[in-house]
Amino acid sequence: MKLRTKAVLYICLNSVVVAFMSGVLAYTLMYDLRYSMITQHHKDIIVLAAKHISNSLSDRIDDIKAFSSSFFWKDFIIERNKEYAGMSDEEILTGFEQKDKEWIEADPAGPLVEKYTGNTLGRRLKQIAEERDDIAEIFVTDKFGGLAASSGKTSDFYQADEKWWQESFTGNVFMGDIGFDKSTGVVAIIIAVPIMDKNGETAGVCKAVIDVTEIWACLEGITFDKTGNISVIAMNGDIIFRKGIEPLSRKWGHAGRIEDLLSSDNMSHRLYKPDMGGRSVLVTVKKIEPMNFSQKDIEWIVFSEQEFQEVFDPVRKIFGSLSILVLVLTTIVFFIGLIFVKILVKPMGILHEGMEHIARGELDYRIDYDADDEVGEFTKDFNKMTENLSSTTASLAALNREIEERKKAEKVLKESEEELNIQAWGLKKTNEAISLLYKELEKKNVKLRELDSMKSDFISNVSHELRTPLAITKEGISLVLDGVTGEINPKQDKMLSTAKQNIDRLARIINNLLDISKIEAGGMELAREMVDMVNLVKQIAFSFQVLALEKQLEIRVDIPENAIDVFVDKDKIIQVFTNLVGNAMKFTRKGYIKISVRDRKDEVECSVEDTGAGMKKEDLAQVFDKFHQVGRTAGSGEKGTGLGLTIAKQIVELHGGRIHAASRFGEGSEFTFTLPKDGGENGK
Amino acid sequence: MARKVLIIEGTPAILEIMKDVFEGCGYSVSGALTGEEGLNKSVSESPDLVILNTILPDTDGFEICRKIKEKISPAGLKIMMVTRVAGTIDAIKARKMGADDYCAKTEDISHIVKAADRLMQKD
Repeated sequence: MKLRTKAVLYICLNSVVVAFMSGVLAYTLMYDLRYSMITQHHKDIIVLAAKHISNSLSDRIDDIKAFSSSFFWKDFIIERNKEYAGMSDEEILTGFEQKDKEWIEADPAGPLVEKYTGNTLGRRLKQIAEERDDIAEIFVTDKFGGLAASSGKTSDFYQADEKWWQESFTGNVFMGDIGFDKSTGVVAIIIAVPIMDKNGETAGVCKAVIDVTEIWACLEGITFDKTGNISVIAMNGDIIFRKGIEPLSRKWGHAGRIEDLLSSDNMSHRLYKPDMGGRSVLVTVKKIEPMNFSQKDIEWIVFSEQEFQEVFDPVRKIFGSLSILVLVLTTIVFFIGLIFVKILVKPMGILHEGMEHIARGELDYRIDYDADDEVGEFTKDFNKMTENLSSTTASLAALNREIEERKKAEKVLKESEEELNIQAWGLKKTNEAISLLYKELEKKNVKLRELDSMKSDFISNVSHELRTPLAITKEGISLVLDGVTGEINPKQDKMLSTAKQNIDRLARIINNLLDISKIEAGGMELAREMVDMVNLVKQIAFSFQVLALEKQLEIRVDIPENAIDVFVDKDKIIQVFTNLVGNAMKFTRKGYIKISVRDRKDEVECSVEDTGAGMKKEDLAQVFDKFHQVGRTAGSGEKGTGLGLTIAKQIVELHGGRIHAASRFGEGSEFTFTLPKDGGENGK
Repeated sequence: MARKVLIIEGTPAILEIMKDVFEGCGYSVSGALTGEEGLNKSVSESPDLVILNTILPDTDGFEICRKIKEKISPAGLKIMMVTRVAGTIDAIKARKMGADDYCAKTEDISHIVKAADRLMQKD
């Protein structure tokens, strides 16, 4: 959830809670206030009302008492009582019975009534009744209960049978229950007081019928708003007073609750529902205080009733207004809160944006918020942190690069290590394989060498065996040719000559073969001596001079002036030269043969060059092989053995030297050999 | 159970000799005269060891070595390359193509059998 939403929610919640709490608090406070106010108001009025009733009644009693205590009244009664003097009780009672009958039938304006209303006291009483609206009727009886004077026609004449009379006669003030007075036709209360003579004895009784309407008159004006009213009821629940209701015409709706109402306190407030009209009402009750003016006090209850709804209507109205006010205030607070949140959150947005930039790796980004508040402080710190981070990251990046490079190097190293391992493996395996193959080869070589020596031995043996018969044959033919055995004809001579030539060739072949066999078998011994190569070449050139002249070839010699001494076997070297020069003679038809000697520090280099047929490359490679003859048919004269160059090579190598041939087909050949002057390794 | 060995050798006579020797040493042997045949058999017969000549009549032995190692899981199959012309470059090439051993092919092939035994023991 975004901070903004949170803040808004917080403000909403706060507003709602504050509004709700203040509402509840306000309502409770207002309710309590209104309740205590209204109940106090009711109570005050009821107390006043109760006092008023109580005072009114006691005022009436006092008034009646005051009237009856006047001497005029007393004297009048005493005078009246004198009329009964000498009369027995029976006579008196009979007289009263007679009088009652007459009284009931008497005309209120007639003489009989006039006798009592028109007498001096009667006139006074009439005057009182007229003056006083509250006194509906007032009359006085003598000490026997007979009517003495009255303000009007009473219902009876004889009153001693009445309770009030009997009570008052004993000297007490009597106050009766409220009721409908028949003689006056009003709802009234009877008050009776005794009239005392000088001796303190009861001379008569004064009864006044008090019209309560007068008492209620001031109560009628008391109302509470529209539905509130004040009522007075008797303990039995009869309504004595209520505005707009005939007294005693009905009972109070909550009459059954009177005991409950009075039980706890004489001032009680109760909420009852429903009453008349089916509405809840607030009831405040007060019992009228005892007055102690008679033996039996009146027991009345004053109470106020007001519809609950009306009582708390102002509370509701105020609450309603207050609710609207709270709502408006809450809304205002909410919007102020929103604006405040927006102001508060805005720098956070800037911060957030900045952080996003930095999170994307733009470490050079600085947040632009320079306010003098916490966010501003935070921004400063954050920018500082970013700076640090930037420098740290830079070094970190460098470190990472280094690590990366090291890793690469390690990888390369590992790869090359693997490569090395493979190569080592390859080398090892190759060594093993080569060593095996080499051993096999060696074995074969040994075998071959054995075979070779067997062959050489064979040739050597065969040659020796051939030489002897060949020499004898040659000797024989020579003898025949020389004519020792007699004359031979030319044909025989030619045939024998050919035979002798071939025998010579065969002998040469055998000699050569023997030489090779000796060399290969390691049997050739070198008889080394110091030989001047320059001189040697001169001798060779000279020995071939005759043959060269025959073939019309020129022998050229290329030698230095000084002698070159070399430690060699002279005969063998001569054989090498002979073979080489003889070979050159054989393949050269015209031109020259050049023999050269050159001093090459520790060696001497000799060469035989001709302008003969030359050799092809493939022939050149095999030129030193045994029995290899280049261009067998190209040669003229004596046929070669095919062993000359082989022997030459073997002799040179035996001396520790080297020989090689160079040639150009059709132009000529050149054989060059070098010899170490000191005789080489073998010579030491 | 006898170890299966496949010998890929272009010369029938040498192949026969090698087969005889290996059979004599307790191997179950099959042979192939060409690289192609050897490649097919190395898949179908799933041998434990392939003895492969570096030079074959139809193709290069190294190529066959690579193909065999490509087609068959390297585990469980060993390849020994044999040659009459041993060389370090060839040996390295053989190793890189996945060969497990590289031996000289001499007339006496007892050392090849020994090398084969060693390779098989390694499992």
